[in-house]
Amino acid sequence: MLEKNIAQSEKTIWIDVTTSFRWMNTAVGIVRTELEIAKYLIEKKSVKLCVWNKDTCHEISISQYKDKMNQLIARGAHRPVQGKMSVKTVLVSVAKRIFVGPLRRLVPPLKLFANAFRSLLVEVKFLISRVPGKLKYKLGLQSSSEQDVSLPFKKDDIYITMGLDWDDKNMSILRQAKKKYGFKYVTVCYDLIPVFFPHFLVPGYREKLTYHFVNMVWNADLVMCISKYSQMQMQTFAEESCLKKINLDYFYLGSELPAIVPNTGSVKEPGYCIFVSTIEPRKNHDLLYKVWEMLAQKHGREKVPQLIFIGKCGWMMDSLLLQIKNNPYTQGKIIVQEHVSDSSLANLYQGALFTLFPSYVEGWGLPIAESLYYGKVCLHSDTSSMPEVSQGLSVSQSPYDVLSWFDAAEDLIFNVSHRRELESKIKTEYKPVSWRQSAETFYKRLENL
Amino acid sequence: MKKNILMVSPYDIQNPLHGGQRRVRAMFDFLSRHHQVTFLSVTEKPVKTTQKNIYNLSYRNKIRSPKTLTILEDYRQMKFLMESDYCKDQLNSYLKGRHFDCIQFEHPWLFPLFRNALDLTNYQIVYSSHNVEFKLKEDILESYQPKFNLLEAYHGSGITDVSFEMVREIVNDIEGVEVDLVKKSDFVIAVSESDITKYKEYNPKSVVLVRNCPGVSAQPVPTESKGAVCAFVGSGHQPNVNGFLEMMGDMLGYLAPEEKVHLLGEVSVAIQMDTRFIEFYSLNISRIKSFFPLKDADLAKQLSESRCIILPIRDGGGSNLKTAEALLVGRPIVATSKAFRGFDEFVSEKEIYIEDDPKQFRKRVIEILRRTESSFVVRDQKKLAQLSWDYQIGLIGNKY
Repeated sequence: MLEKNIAQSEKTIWIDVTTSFRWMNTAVGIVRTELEIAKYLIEKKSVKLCVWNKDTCHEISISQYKDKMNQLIARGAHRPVQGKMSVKTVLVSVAKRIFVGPLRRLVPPLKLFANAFRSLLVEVKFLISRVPGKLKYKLGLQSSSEQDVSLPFKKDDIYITMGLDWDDKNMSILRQAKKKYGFKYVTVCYDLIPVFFPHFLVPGYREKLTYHFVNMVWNADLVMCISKYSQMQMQTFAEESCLKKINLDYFYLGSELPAIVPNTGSVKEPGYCIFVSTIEPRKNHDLLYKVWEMLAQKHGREKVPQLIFIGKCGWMMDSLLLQIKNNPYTQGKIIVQEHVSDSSLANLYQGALFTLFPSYVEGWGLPIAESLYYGKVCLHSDTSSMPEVSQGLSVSQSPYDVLSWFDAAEDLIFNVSHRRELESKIKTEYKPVSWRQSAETFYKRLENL
Repeated sequence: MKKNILMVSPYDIQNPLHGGQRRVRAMFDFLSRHHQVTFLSVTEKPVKTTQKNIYNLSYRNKIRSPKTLTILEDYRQMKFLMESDYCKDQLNSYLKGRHFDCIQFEHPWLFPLFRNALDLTNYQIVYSSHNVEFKLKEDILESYQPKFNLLEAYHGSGITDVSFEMVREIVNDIEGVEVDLVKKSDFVIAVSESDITKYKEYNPKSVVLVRNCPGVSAQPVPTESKGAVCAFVGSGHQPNVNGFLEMMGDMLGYLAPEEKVHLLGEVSVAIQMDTRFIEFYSLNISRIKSFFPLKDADLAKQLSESRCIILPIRDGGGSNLKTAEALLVGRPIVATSKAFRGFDEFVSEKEIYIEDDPKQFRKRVIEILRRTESSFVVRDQKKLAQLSWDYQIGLIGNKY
């Protein structure tokens, strides 16, 4: 019925698959969302796909994209599991220790140079601004797009983006084209962390991402957020920083992983806990290091289950990883596994005692949903979107309160009957969201545009 | 009776650009019609003088001031001139054989030099103020405290240890000189009512008002608005930058991509160099357009083509020339109450919006930018006539 309504109005739904089409790694986060939503929407006959290339956007065939999808899915499924810190991780960590110190000393002079360069840039930009438009175009100082905008969309079409828009498209062209053709632009907001929690980001991203959100506010006819919390944050940003009301809604991301296959991994001990996340300051690995050290001190190393950090090593975590490695209480008790395939991850969830997720702030919190999907209790933070994900079926604590986490983790490890009780509650009450449901909610929302 | 008047200033006025220069030039031109007036600038860089009755004395001060806090530049020069025997001798040799009845000081910065070199009791002394300087410096230095490396800022003054006490010491230094000048003056020319009130604490007898005025006093014919553009004109003076970034914000994302702020004058460069603006550089640069340098005719054109004129002034003292210019243009004005100091009778006029809350200020700007039609107001001609230099200076003509 819904499909019929949209089809009847003769509008085409365009899905921008630039990010996943160009992705060369395992599909994670944003890439996975684009891939999964596109996969389900492709089934609708009126859907077309497009890809940006610099300042232009062109259509690609569905078969072309299906090839790419298969590659990404295969890449995700066959990644080898590594039982400990990879050689690459160790080498990178050592190299960082040798080079980062001296390089940091170069930062102040480099900053001075950057400021001087920026000043020069201001002068050059000023001079360029004085050059008449046509001459600018002839001299190559102005892209063709500012002269002539051409995109494949027509009036009333719906153009959807879910990818890394701040990196791969020219929003000023999109705005001009929108005015010219009158199509609708729908986009996805994952989180507003760069705006409200810039200290958790790599320097430079705050500016870039804030500009992206401003573009969203000014151009989108509908912004689909991935949680009620993200929606609330986007609303605050639009109204407080951009002084504008925007059309917002939310949908939940799917949480199912591929079917479980026989475990080929090399987890050292039976009965382990996992924390699935990129290793970076926002995720608060530090808290779990303290909790595990305290558990080992109180109960003895052998009685404490192994904790596996599953995720890529990010930035500013070298000293924590070094402490974990050298601390006799956590040495070998906390391990890192990078590049885990989807099927292996499913196995790891399945075999875990419970999972942990002490992140300070999230836009959603997919690992909590995945944990519950596999019937596992997740001890998670009580902030941002995380309580929304767990539907009140897990245990939550403040990410700032180490002692509460210690008590909660101790209870889940040693009070088996309580853990089982929680697991059975999850089994009967948890309502997982599949990617199909996710795509359908998204698609349904387009009807009212 | 025709008097011999010596006007002294820390800058030249042959090609007046900033508000201070324009004011002094207008004063010089008006007084020259009724008296024998000589203008003398005392500057660090030599100035080539080609115009009649305009002279320059120059000197070299080896202590350099860092660019971070140009607001202390005049203080640095005053300190140097206070102690320089070379400058004292230069001044004496210039004055030798010349007779003056009256010395008019533009700003207080040259007063210590003259006080050391001459017996001032033989002259009529006029202090032509542009701001209550010690109050202005105090306000600005206090607002800078958390943002600037004061150690670096004061280095130019030869001061290496910086504290709140040091700020007080600088303010006290300036206050000492300015109050002495006010007390010794036969009359003080102030730019606003609030400055008059302040000066009357020290010299209750004779403080008079000469407000700042635009170059022309007739309201221009309205020109077609160039679209969703608001204009801000100003010098690179730090309070202009602070005012803009505080009232309009350091993230201009609330302006639609087609809505622009035209920054007219040196303030455009100063804003783009400010670290707060740089924080969201790519976004902010997409919402502004710079016009610098700018001729008078172009400035008037830019102002009259804008949808509205903003006056985001939070400190800076004095009465604003840019306020007078904005009033003359006839476009809607969004301003702080401080920007309208000295122009109180205009506050209740049509299309003048006084907003001191930054969020309300921005909301008002975008409300005007998004109107379907641009507004133009024909202002009260009688009130506008008071914004001419001839009218303003004419009020004090008989004081000399």
